[in-house]
Amino acid sequence: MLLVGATLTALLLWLPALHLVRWSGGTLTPPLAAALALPVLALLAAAWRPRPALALWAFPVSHLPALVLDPGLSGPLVYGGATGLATLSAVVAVAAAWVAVTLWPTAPGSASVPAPPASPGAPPRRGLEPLLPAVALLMSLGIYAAFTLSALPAASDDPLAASLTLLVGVTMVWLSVGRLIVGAWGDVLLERDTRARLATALEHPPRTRWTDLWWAVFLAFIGAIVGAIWYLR
Amino acid sequence: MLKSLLLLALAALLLAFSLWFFKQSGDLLAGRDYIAGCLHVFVGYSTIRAAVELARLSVVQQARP
Repeated sequence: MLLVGATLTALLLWLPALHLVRWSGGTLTPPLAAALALPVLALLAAAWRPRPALALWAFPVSHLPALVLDPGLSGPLVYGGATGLATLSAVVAVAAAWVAVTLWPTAPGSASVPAPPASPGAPPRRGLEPLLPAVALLMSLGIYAAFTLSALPAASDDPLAASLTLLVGVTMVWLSVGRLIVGAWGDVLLERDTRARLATALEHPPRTRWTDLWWAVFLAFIGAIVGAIWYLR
Repeated sequence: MLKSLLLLALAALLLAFSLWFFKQSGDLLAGRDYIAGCLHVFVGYSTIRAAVELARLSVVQQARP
């Protein structure tokens, strides 16, 4: 957690500040230095008291004073052009990792998993649960990388199309991973009641009418023909 | 148990295919072919939805006594 938070602050504030001071003739004023150190305090507080308000609100907001004091930290020198797009992608990826380690921790007592009662009981059954954060992280990175790899070559010539591509990519990460993988699959994986309801529904399937079946076959046939024409033309 | 693993493997396969569709849609969107890009996004999203349904079935299958 500390490592991911420090990486995020370094990418967002410290490296741009170092670049501005060292190579672009900027000056490190005392208020700016204090603002650059503010996320460290927020990060230590979030690590000391793992609460969502500290991790998901205080720590991200603690970056704002430095960004307001020196607009160059988020200016075109840092985020302009193709390399700027890569920098922005890195910041977004580390920010997503920060949210992931904050919301999906495996250790009891952290921000989203309260400490269990101190009564000794049977150890919990280990099933597919450990797969959920790994699949969510891999799919997030995979979808975002798929869109970013397409957007990067077009960033210099057509920034509008590249931005739109990245926007669609971020939206698809949110919809696919947030709503489907974590929402729908995680619900069945982690909630015993949902699992029981789904099992009951599967044991008593609704009667399938022949017309529905023929409609499904017809639509699948049309879809296959259209797909084949599309790729073979 | 075998059926559960098979469903999980099929779900993983569909997830991998969805990434290919997203790569195609990214290429089309970056090339200003917006309608084809949106159609590929829709196909990728539907593939992920199918994969998640298979993964849900796998969990229920594994939980059966």
